[in-house]
Amino acid sequence: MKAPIVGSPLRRSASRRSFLRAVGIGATTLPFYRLLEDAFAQSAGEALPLKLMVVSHPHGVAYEYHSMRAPDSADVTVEGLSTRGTDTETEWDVSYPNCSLQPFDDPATYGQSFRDRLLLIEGMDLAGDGHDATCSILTGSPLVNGQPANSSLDQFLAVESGLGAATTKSNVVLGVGDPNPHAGITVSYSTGGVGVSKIISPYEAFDYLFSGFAPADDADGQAELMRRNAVGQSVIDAVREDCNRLRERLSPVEQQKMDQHLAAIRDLEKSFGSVGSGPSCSEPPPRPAAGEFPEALMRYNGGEPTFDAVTDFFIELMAQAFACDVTRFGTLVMNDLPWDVASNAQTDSLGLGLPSDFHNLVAHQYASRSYDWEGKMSGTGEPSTWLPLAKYNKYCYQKVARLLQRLDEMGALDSTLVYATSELGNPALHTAHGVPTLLAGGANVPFRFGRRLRIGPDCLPPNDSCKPRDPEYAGGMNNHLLVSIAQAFGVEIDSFGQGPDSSYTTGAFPDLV
Amino acid sequence: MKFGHALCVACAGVWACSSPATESGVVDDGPAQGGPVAGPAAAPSAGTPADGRTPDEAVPAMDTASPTGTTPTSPTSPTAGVALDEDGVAPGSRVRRVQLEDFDRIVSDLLMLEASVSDAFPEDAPTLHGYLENAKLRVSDRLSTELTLAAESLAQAVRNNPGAYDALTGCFGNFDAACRDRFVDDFVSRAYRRPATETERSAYTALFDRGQEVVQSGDAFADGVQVVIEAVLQSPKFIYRIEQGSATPAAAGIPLTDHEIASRLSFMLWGTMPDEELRAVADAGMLSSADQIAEQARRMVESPRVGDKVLDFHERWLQMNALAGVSKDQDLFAPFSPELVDAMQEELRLFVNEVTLNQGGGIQELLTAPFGYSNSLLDSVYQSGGNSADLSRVEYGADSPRLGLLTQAAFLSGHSSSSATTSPILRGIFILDRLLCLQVPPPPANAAATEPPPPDVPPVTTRDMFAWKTSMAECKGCHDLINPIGFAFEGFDAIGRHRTMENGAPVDTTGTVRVSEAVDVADAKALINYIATLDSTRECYARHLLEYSYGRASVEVDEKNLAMLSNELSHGTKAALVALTSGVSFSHLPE
Repeated sequence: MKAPIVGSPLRRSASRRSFLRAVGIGATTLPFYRLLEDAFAQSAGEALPLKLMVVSHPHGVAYEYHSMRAPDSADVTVEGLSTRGTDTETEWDVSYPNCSLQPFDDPATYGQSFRDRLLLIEGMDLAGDGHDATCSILTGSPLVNGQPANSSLDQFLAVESGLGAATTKSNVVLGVGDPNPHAGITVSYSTGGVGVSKIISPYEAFDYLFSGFAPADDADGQAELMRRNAVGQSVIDAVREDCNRLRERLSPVEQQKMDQHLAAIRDLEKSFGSVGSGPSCSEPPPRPAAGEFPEALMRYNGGEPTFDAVTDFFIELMAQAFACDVTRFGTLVMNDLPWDVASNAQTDSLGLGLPSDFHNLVAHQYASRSYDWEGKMSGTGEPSTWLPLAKYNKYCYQKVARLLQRLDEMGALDSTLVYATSELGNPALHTAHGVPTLLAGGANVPFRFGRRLRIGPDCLPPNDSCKPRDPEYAGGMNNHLLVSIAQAFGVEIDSFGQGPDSSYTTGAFPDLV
Repeated sequence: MKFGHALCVACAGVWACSSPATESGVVDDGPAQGGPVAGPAAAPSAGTPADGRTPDEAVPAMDTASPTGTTPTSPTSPTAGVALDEDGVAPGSRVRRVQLEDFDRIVSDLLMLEASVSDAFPEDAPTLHGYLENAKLRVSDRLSTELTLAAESLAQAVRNNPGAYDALTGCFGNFDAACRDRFVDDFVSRAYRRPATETERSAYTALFDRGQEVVQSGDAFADGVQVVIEAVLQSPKFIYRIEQGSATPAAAGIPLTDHEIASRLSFMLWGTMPDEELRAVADAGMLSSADQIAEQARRMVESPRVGDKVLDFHERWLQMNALAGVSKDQDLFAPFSPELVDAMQEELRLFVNEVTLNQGGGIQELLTAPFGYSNSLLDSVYQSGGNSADLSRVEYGADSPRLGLLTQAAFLSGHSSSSATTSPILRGIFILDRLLCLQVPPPPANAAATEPPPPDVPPVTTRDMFAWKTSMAECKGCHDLINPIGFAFEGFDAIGRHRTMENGAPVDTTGTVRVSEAVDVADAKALINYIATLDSTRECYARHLLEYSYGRASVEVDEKNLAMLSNELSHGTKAALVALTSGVSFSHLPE
């Protein structure tokens, strides 16, 4: 049967534990807005609160240019080098040609190596599969009847557990090229597994996070802001009064809607205060100039040429938002390569030398070593299909490395946990087994970084591969990682998401702390 | 209650579909609107229902054994209408956030100006079989922010629009306390869709008076108007439709107030607040009897204002939002472009509007109406000779391969899957799921990694490929049901162009469809003519219409009405909409 992953105790302060016990999931009978008040007050004394940034990049991973090259790895030769090598948990090489992880060890480009900030995990499995596994990344649940069963970890921590209450925005949900809360392209889900629409416009994202801020040396701007805030406060007072009167007459289920409304109003009120309490937030980032980004941002509707620039903008914006402590929870769903349909472009505009129709001509063509119907290894794959996918992986990791660089430059990396992953492992198989899993962070994140971990084979011998729900499945579900992250944020849960039985969802991921 | 019938059961870890087919009939490629050749269709047997229940909607225990088959009954008069016969009041949310796609309509009506502010709003997830679910619509942090920005800009728009300002305030130069009181009372009452209470009048009057202190524009009255508008537009009583019912319970449940019924009618049929006539009859207490409700419903479905919701329903039912995210291989499908997609969607809108609203048709007519629309862009798909930028109606002759909306480019492009080829599987599953309410389980997790032994002859056509790919025993249970439906559409390529050859080989559209009985079909047209006759097609459409209109899953008390509703569809979609306003669930809250 399955090899259960057991939880491990975390190092947390007693005050933080008591704070979280007060606002945690055990106290849901209290009106939510009162919880927020408690959370707001009690968290005021917390130093360097943790922040969570989740980046989802599409199309899985080319294992051959990504996985550990350990003494017991498969011996496959690519580019004249064997995928078998001398890597260990703490000593590993990413300098070989075309390794997609190179951006994390590239001081010339990113100012420093992030090797010691990384925790790479191989063999991670998601609860979902196929085209819709994106919904499983942070929910730990499969898609059933169009949605996962529960909220995603970011929303659970930021909204339901109240950890986002102290900042102007409890969380922000960003996406490149498609705002639709469809399960296949959405990582954030509110209570009950309802997809959260993504902000895809740089302008809207900026305004959402940084409107209501005027530089200290702008007297006119400050005066206008104060007037606007006074109007806003009067309006909000009236709305809250209305909301409270109404709330008293509703049933408990419907009161939850009012509580959420009240919490949202509280967020608004916070924006009437000052922005800029973060460690390195002397002034906000500039709003992008009019015309800097075109109106067409949607994929398949002319938005592709903007994807790279929009991704860069969101990376910078999130680093600023974390540094300014505007929010502590963010998710970003990346998109495909820039693809100029109108020009019938044959190659990408980034100069990576990849086909413009990356989805069909690279991701679908990727032929790694494969398994037969019974889960036995069969077939050696097609080496020519590996490098194109690895190039795209590297492109995505360049963005993540840039995020780490900017967070560090602004003093926020030590208190940030970045979780970068994909909805697929092998994209051609549409399998959510063995998804690339990268954690990065700093001193205040209670994980031991600078390591590479491998989860054992999915199945016990004699099979090489099997899927969740097979009785012999022994793989590592990312539910355990979600539990570990929640615990790292001080929320004492021991299971997250939905699985065939509790062993899939219960227990922290071993050996992280 | 149930939504569809799971045909497939898991057995020893392998999915298999059971076929309800018992005997074989034959359908040939008949005339466009000719009668079907198939015998009477038996409804599929009920299986395990899909559980699409929401956690915060209390739903009675499901009766999985309740019959869902229908027996044809004689049509009723469209003018008399039918009244739904319900054993009780269906549960539902009493606090329903307005749908954001209705927001511009609502504020335009409320503020008496043309408003377009909802573009930046976050999109609601369609959690109910592609429809919005009342119980799950909330005000998130982001929506709250966007509502604030919208309220600010709308209040400014009123100040800057003398016509709207005068119409809203009604002061016409006399900006005194009496006018202030009249404005507050009238505006709050209209926004909240029922008379303002004394407490509300008092609170908003106080806010009005505070306006000049905080806005400081120099126009005290306009400052008051501005802050009241901003606050009301963000109030939960405006954002949510709140139903508390009248104080006196009746046998069936708690009767809704006349104003609450007016809102139900207006939001369901028009997607906006009640108009003057609805407000007047509600104010007069003349909207509680079944006849009074039916009279208003009949008036409203004959208004052009019903068009937005009717079109939205059909776009959601057909999952046309998927079309916006479709890509096609430009080497194979050079005409495919965002502009062509717009034209495809516009054709669908014109078609649905013509069939359901102008001609009074329903699902049968949508499937079999022998016409479409084309323009210079769509001509690249239809070769119909259109050379204008405007869409114009194109009649299908008897020899045309096309019939109704399933042979239009929007459907054929949106449900084709791959950028390079058609997907008979997706087309087949769509028809089973959305038109017949038959659920097919997802393939095994490792299906993509599994292939049958190489075929003796390499596949040439798409049909060859999928027939081979799904030929393993563990696949056939479901694919014997799915594939013939999808294969019937192989006469149309991935953007809907008609074809008889693919990769140098003839396209084969024939097959045996096993929906309720084994029926041989020659092509898409024959298939469409066949499924248009099935009771289960009408019942499925009625179920979709009910769930969309009520914003909740169908429950047990709805079940016996589906036959009546589907029967009412013989008088068209509009008649079914009127029928949906007739049950006690429409006019009552549960105890």
